[in-house]
Amino acid sequence: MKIISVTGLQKKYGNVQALKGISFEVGRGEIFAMLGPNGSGKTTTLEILLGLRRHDGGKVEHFDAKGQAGPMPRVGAVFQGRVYYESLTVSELIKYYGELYRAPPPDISRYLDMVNLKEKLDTQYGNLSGGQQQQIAIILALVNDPEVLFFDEPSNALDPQVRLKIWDLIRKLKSEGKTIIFTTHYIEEAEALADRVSILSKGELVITDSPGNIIKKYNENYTVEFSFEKDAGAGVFNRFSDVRFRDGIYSFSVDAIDGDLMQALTEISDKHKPSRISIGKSSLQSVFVKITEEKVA
Amino acid sequence: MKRFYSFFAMQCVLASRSKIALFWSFVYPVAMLLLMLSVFGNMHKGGASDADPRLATLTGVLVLTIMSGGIFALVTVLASDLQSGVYKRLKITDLRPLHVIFALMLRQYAIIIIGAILVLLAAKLLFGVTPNGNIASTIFLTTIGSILFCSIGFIIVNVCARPPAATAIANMVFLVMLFLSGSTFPKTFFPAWLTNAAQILPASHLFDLLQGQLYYGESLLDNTKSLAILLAMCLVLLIAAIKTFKWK
Repeated sequence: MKIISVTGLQKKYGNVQALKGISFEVGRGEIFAMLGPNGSGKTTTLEILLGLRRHDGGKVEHFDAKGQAGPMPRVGAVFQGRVYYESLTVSELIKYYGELYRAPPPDISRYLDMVNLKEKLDTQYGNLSGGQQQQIAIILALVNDPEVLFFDEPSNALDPQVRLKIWDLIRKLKSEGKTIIFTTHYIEEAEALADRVSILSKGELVITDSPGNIIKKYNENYTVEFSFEKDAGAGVFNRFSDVRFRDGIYSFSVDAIDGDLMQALTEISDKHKPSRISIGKSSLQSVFVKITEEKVA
Repeated sequence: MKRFYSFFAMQCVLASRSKIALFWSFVYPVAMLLLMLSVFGNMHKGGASDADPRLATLTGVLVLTIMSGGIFALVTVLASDLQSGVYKRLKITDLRPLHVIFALMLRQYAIIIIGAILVLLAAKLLFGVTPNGNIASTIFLTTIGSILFCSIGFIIVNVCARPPAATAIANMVFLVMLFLSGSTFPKTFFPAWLTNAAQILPASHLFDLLQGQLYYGESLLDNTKSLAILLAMCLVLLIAAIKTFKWK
């Protein structure tokens, strides 16, 4: 059952059309990811859904547990940047922010236990590490017992251990029935956490589906990558379609590894002496790159 | 009211932990008093022959304290919080604009009152200067001045697209009012046209009214024109501050 429906959402900043009429639905209790490169419109979409920005066209609708259209549900959010007063302690932030809502705050101490940060209650927020701040920011998003949680790049610039902790926390919140909508440019984060993913590119929503279905839809069974010490040019790959170039690596997709493919790769290898060749199973990453990168051949 | 009190309490805790806020709110006015009494202490600002001339200087420092707390300190804090995104997070709570405006005004009022008491105590204890007038009237004028200058602070932040621009404009407005209101230089030094032009500034009327109180020992009703203008400006600016409020 859907909890949020977005139809034809548009947003313009001056002459720049940041959102070009995107539409999607988010189901109650699901983890929904908005994946896209910087400037694709993820944060703008999230801020419109939170009521922080006005949209120029389209509509956002909310639905209750019976499927009836209604007011915005209780929401919590984790934003990028320093959105909490840094000279307040963790316990003061929990107390004060909890009291800024009409309803009495729920007991959120179990989440502090879960991330092992109970001993930081008397520490000023500004004195916590980046990872601790982000975990506390997630816990502070729960002070009003929200039905829907919005996370803007929840594990951006965090080390892998903290990222895994945050993923565990997000999975725990889903297991408690909360709906989670997050933006990310980490493909592995979307693949690991999300029930469904929307891929945004330049203000357009390219596809919305489960990570597995997106890979299937793009029929990407294998990805071949080449890099050269001296760039050989895109013309080398003219027998392949949809060749992309990013960070010095040429990549393209193939349905199967067969004799013809191996013959072609051997010829390229003999003639142009690549510094690296790899053939791997396709992932959401290769689909993402395919969708968001310019084609060169 | 719970949300208002919690936000107000949070803001008071924040102010108490900000060394910069404490300096500009309490140390700066007292330091200015010491400096100005040393430099201008014996000048007859108001032209009265029998009153202590240092009371004119004390009046100027009180107006400076109110303006500094209302415009300079408020805009500096708000601009910094807006830039960091604090208000984006606050907007998705059940806090309403009126809670924010009045909680911040009340906090600044408390700071201004403490700053004013420190200035009066410093004047009395260090220089033996005792103001004339009615204490209730002085508190009333301080209250009106605090609301008025906080409203100006809010309007500056609300209409400026970028927080750094708000800080720059606040500085400009603060300095213009500081120098033209009579708070730092006696208006008798000004040409006639500048004296007249300065009357469009609320700080001029506040200075005149406070000077009437503290220097001449007048009643508020002895200067009803300035009082009416100040009250009208306060009301208009407060409404403008509320109407233009943006979470950014």
